[in-house]
Amino acid sequence: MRKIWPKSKQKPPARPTARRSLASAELNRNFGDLVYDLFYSVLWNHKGARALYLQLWRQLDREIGDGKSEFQKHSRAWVLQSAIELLVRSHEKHGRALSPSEQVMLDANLNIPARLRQFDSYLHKLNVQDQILLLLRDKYGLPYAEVASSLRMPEGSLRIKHQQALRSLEEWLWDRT
Amino acid sequence: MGSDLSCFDWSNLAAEYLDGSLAPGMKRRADDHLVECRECSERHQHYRLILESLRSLPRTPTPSELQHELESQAPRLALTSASPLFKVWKASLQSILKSPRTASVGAAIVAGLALLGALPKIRSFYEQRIQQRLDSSNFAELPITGQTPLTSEESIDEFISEDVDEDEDAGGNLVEASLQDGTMKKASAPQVWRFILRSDSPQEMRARIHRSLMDARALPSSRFMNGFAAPGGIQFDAFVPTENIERLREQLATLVDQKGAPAMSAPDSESEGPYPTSPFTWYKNKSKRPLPAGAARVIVWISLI
Repeated sequence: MRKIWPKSKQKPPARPTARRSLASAELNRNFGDLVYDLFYSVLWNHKGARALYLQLWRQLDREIGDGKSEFQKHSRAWVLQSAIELLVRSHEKHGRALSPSEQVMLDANLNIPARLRQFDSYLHKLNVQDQILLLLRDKYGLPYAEVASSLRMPEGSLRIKHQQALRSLEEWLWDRT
Repeated sequence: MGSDLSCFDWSNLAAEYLDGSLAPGMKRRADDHLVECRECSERHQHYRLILESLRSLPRTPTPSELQHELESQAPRLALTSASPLFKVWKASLQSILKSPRTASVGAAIVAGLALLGALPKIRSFYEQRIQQRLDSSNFAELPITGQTPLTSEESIDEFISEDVDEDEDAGGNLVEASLQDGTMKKASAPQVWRFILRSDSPQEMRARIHRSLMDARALPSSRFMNGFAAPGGIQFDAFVPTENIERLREQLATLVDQKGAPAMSAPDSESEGPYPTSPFTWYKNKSKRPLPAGAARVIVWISLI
């Protein structure tokens, strides 16, 4: 016999769920700081980092909504790939390079400990991809495989680039030209 | 124990050595090299300092107000979500654009469709060119006995296409001419008269029709007064004074009768289809082209029964 529920006991219609999924919120909670710090370290600029950060999460929200797989949803490399793409594009337009006077000041300083205190200025003499590589690998300690995936390059090439970036920094800091 | 590693070898292994990811045997050889080579040892120390500096770079946390701003955007993002149809469309477009091969195939298909759509225009342009070439040629000087077979492009249809049926121009300056009780009124616009004859021996009739045209005082500037052989028959094209057309029509009808064919058909163009079955049919159109003053264009087509 069919049971008829009184109107008061009927289930209310399901509320529309928020577009921003749990996966997106979790990604933001796990990797938000890493991504923001990466943006700020490369751009040297809070305003640019904020804009890029918001843009990144909007983009990730859209991509999660477009049906990314569970693995991709929770992959740090996937978040970093999108972040690095945005960062490289933004750096071409708004990236801050050392001015000639800053360059002269850096070169004029012969004291190695003083140079090391200005290490971030030397870091910014590298190209943006090498900066990201060193930051991901040595500042945040990501494995080579993940950095390679984030930068979309083979791991062997990444190791060589890492070595070259270290060598460039060493030459600048210790005047080995 | 001496090291067998060169400075170049060590520099290639430096990153892995610093990571501590070298195999034990290789690490021992690298250690030996660093003990022996002062330059590589110095470099190794420098690399360590660089890596320490990198690790000690300050970390900037996400500003809390930025986090709040991001979370406050969630409902707005919900409202701006795209429809499923749009998502499918966008995904397919992106997949096409990502692959150069697919994009080139797509471009080729689009180009092919565009070409297919433009074919009628290309054909009409081609036909116009042929018509212009025909107009510029002087066919009136052809010998009477000479047969000049036309190609398929130069068929009778081209001449017909230049004319306009009277019915199409009902609201404008129509040809006033019409037949009433066998008499013809004067026309105020250029006319084209078409006489269609069917015979079992078109070549025999050719000379007679030429003579009839001469009798009707066809203008010497006529193009095909001698007739030309086209696939399926012979065509004459001449300018005849309008007052002689009635006589010409009677003569042509007589020619058909002499051949022992059935009686001539009614002069009603609407009753006849494009391929008349009676042995003698005629009808009248308005011509788009300018004609000599006081003359009408006469086209006679003899086809084989």
